[in-house]
Amino acid sequence: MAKYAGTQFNVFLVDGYNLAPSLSEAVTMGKESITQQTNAFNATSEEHTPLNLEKGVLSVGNGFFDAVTDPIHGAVGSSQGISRIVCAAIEDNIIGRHFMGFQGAIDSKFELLDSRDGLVRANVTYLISGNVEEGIIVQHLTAYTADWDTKTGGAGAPDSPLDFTIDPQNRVMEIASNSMANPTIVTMKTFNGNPIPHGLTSTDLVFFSGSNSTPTLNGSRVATVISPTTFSVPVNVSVAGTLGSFVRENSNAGGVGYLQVTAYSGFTVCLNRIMHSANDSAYAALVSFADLGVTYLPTKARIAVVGTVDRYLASFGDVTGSGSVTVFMGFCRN
Amino acid sequence: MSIRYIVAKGQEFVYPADPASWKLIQDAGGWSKLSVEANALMKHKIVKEGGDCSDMDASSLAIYVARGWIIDTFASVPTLIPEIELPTESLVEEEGV
Repeated sequence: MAKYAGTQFNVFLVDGYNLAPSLSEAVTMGKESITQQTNAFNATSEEHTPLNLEKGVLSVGNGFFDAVTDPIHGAVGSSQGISRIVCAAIEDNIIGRHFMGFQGAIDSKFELLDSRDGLVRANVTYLISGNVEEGIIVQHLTAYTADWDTKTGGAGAPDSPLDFTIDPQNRVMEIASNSMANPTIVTMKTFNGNPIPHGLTSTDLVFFSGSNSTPTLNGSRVATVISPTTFSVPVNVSVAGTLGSFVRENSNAGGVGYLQVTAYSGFTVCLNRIMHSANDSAYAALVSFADLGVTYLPTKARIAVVGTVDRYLASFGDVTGSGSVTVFMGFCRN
Repeated sequence: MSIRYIVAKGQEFVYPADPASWKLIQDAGGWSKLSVEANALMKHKIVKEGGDCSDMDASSLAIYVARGWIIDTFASVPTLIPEIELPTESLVEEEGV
């Protein structure tokens, strides 16, 4: 659990309200493992056993809010006990940066500290009833007045798709060897004498680099699992290799998409989607959020998906009519 | 003309609309790596569930057909005339008893 200054938050979205400009003091957020004290009565030191449960923690301290115009009262002050969706990011409001998603956040305590000249100072503590997920910003909070598609931003453009192979959350796995065979068999490196499990399932795509076999394994390959610490890739290797590493190109346990819409006007149809692609060419819809239609409230959504999530993620907006929408989308891989 | 590939239920695809656009992506090393000028020349299409996506490039088709997100109708032609199991001689005899 970490404590942040309110000014560190570029994105702090609660049920479609952007509270970031309202945060003047401290915000505490994170997740913690729940343990139970399990030492015997006569023990001389405490013992705690994990319960395999995680708990989200989120609190906003000493925020100054305008009681009349500031949306925070719509978000937290006026109605307590409502399940909420929160997206918070401190790494800047940029595609590819990390955010935390809180599902089922319930404001359990709204503590009014002071009120003067239309400003209210308050502490808010959320009891998180659901999951806390760490994900990637697929669509930074920004306004659009026409259809958009972040995969067409162009080389070096800020609105580009995410590449999972360069995500710092994607662990780099080192190999010990790959055999002279067709297909070649990859054996994982050992740690303290024990081979490190690769964690793959057959048909997973992996991206190799630093391979020294002939030919090298470098590039995109399809893995076929042989054992928890070995797998094969379809390469006819004539000289075995002893070096190399890989990262996963896709994940296969689904994930969760988040949507927050902070402003909306004019359009009669507004479809928001998170798209994914194995090859940065053909993109498939991964998460399809409901049409915002003509009736708009500050909107939020959290949709879980199962199965394969491919290497590239992009946001896609399809609007009808003329208007404007200010939208944020993020995705958390399982 | 028969349609070979259709988008499976619950799926939707966006992909280059013609071979020229596909070549632009290949040359750049990916859609996201296109220059602004190349992007202006790029044409794409959106195909929703049940739609014909036979003009998708072969490498992408191979990935998504293997996952079942695109259906190869040539590979799943239903058997129109079910095989009839003829009664064996012994069964005929039993029926006659």
